[in-house]
Amino acid sequence: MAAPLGRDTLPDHWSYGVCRDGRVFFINDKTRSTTWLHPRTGEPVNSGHMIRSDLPRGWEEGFTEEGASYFIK
Amino acid sequence: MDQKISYDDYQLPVVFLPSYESPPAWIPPQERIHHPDYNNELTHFLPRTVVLKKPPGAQLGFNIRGGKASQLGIFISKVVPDSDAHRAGLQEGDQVLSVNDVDFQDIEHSKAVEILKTAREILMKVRYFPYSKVIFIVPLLPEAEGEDCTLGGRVELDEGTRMVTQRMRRRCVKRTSTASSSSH
Repeated sequence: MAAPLGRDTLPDHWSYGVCRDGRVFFINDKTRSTTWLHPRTGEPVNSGHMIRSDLPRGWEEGFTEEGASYFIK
Repeated sequence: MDQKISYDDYQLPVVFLPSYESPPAWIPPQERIHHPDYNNELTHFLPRTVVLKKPPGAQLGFNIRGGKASQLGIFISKVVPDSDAHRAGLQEGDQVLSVNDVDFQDIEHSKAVEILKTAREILMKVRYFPYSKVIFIVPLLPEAEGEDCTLGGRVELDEGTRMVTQRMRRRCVKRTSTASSSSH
């Protein structure tokens, strides 16, 4: 069940969910939106994409099926 | 519209990852308890420790795949039934986070194999991450020699991907016949 990850970890109105395949996402019940990025750190917790140290915070690199890379914010 | 480049014309190795997916859409709290993408217990996916002892000459009973060349971590691709690894709770889809205090999250496949093969006792930190099963890793790089050639189990493929996958599978089979095994 989606629940606060820790009392002091998530801001008000936020909780998290865990997909059936293990990916963690964050839920904002005030704006009725979801995101892969932790609302405090701006980093994905476990979304299946590799974090690259040379990208700005909040960006990830993904790949299309043709092997081209693209960037996700 | 630009014509797509034929896969045979790619000059570089091709790595196939799933396209970016948005997170599950927001749903009201009262509906989450029955939703398969909302009510999973995080504890199921938290890191855990697996300890394996390896007598001289013994097999540990699992395969790994992934590595730095694929820009991915190291994942367990197969666990032999009734092996020590199976009895210790290791399972397909586990990501290997570290082995004997060596970080496996950004390691070359060959180095990971070396560490696992040479260790007499393995203290392995893993976490279950079944999403890794849908990731296609096509080991065409020279340093990927000997890498597990199992392709991910994506259920539905478009025609282009299916064709490429079939071609890659043939290459993997050919490579496997001459490469050393990554079973441990």
